[in-house]
Amino acid sequence: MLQILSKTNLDITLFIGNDESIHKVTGLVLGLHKKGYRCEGSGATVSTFMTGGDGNSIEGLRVRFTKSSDSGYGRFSRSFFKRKITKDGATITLDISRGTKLRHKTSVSVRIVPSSEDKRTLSNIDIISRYSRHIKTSEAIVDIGDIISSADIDNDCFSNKSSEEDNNNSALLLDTVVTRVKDLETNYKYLYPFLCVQNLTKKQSLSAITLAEFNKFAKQTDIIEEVSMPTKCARQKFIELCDIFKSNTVLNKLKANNFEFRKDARNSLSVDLFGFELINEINFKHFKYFDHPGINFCADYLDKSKTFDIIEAKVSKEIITRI
Amino acid sequence: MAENISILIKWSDLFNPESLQHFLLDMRNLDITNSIADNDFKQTSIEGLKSYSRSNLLNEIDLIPNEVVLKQNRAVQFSTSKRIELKLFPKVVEFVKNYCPYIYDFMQDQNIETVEVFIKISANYPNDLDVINIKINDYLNLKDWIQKDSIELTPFILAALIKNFYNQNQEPFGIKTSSALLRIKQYINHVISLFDKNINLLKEYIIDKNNDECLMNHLEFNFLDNMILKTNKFDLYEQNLDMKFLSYINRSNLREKLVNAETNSNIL
Repeated sequence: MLQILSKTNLDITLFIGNDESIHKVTGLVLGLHKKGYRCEGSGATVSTFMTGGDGNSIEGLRVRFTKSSDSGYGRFSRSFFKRKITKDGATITLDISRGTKLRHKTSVSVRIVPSSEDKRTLSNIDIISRYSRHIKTSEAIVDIGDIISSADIDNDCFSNKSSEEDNNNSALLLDTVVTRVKDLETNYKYLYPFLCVQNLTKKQSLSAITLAEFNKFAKQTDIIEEVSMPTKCARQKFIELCDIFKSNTVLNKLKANNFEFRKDARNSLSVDLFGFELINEINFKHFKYFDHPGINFCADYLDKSKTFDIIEAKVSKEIITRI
Repeated sequence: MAENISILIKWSDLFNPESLQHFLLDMRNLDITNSIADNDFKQTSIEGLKSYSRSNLLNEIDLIPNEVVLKQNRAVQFSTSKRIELKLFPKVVEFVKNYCPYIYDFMQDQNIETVEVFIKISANYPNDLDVINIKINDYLNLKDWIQKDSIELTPFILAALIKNFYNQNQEPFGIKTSSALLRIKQYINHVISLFDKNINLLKEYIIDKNNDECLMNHLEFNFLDNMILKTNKFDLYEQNLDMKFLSYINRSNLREKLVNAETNSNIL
C-alpha cells in the first residue's frame, strides 16, 4: 500500500506499507530525488499503521520528503531514507542516502538478514550434500551471515540536463538500479548455497556483492540451481587448473568469467566465484578423492556453464605471456 | 696437548643402560677421527682426540649400520623402519572402507598396499640412568611390535595411511616416544576397540578446535610429531572420522574418557 498523505509546494508526506516491494520503494525514492525532494533521516520517518481498502490494518512507514535544491559550488543537499521490513522471516533494510557516504554520490543499499526458517530448510535438505558426499550440513555451515548489496549513482543523474539524450541516459541509469534491486529481491536466496560453502572456507558475518555483480549472478541462476556433484573428469580438470595457478611464479591474481584466483604469501590459493570465497587451500591433490564442496561447486559450474575452456585458456595465456 | 683415545663398543652394550651412559659420557669430549663398524664381531671401534674445547663431529657416524647412529650433537639415535602390509591389519582396511571412503578410494586408485613406519628414539648426555633405561626399553618394545606386525601397531598403521592420504605421498610415519604414545600403548585395547566395537564414541566425538592437542592454530594437524594435514581452515575436516580418531587417542584426558565410556556402557 502506497498513499500520499499530504502534499504542499515544500513537502510531500507518504505512507509506505510494509507490503510494498523493495524495488518499488527504491524507484519511488529515486524519483522523488529527481524531483528535488529529500528525506531528512529518522526525524522524517515514523513507523505507523494505516487501514487498507479491505479494512485491514497495514503496518508501514510515514515519511516526509522536503523540497531542497543543491546549492552552488558543487554542494549537494543531503538525504537519508531508511526502511526496514520483515518479509518471509527475512529482515530487509533499504538505505538510500545522498551525500552522506560519498559527497557526490547517492548510494542505494539493501541489507538482508536471512530468516531462521530458511536456515532450518538449508539444514533439513542437507544443502552441502549436493556438493560433497563426505561432509554433512552442520549448524555452523547453515549459520549464514547477512547479505549486503549496493550501488552508487552519481548525483548528476538527478539534475535536469540540457539535452534530452542526457536526460534519457540518466533515467535509464536510475531504471537500471531499480531493476537490479528487483533482481536481488527476487533471487537473493540463490546466494544461500554460496554462503554455506563459504562458511567452510571463510566465515563471514556480512557478505557484500554489488548490485551490478548480483545482476551478473542472477543471469546464471538456472545453471547455479543445477550445480551439484561434478563429473570425475571436471573435478580433476579443475584441481589441475588450481595446481597450475598455485605453482606458477609469475602471476598472483587472475580474474576471469566471474572467477578470481589469488595466491598468498603462505603459498595457498583462494578462489572466489561471484566474489564469494569458496576455496582457500594449501594442498589440492587429496581433493581428487575427498569432496571439497567449493572445488566441486566451481568444477561443476564451469562444466555446466561450458566455460572450462575459456578459464583454462585465460590462465594459460596470462601465465605464458608473463614468463 | 690432546690425548689419543681409542674406544671399542660392543653393539650389545649400546642396549645396556649403564654402558650406554658411559659411552655417552666418553663421546662428550672426543674429536672423532675415525670409526669402523665391524659386522663380524658386532662391535664398532672409534678413534679420536680427547679435547676439552667444543668437540667437532662433522658427520654422524654409524655405530650399528642402519640402526644406531651417533649424531652430530653427540646423541645416540636408535632407529628402525619397516614397510608393513595393510592386509595384515584388516581392522584398518575395514575402518577406512566403512567410514573414510575417500581414503579407501585413494588406496584403490593408487594401489596402496603397504605403509612405512619408523621408530626413532634418542639418548643423550646427561640423561640419567632411568631415562636411558626407559628409552632403550621403549625402542626394543616398539622394534618388537614392528618386526612381529603386532596388533598393537593398528592405530599407527591407520595414522600412517591417513598421513599418506592427506599428503598424497608415501612418506614413512614416525613413532617417537612421547606421553601421547605411552598413553596409547597403555590403553591400546580401548584404542583398538574404536575401530569397530566403540565406533560410536568416535561418531559422537567433537573435535574441540580451540583446544585440540593435535591442532596448531587451526592450521596444522599433527600426530606424534607427524604432520598429517596443513590447511587454512580445519572446519572442512572436523567431521572426518580419521581426524576424530587421531584427535581422540592423542588427548591427555584419554584415561578419564575411557573410564566414562566404560561406566556408560556398564549402565546401558
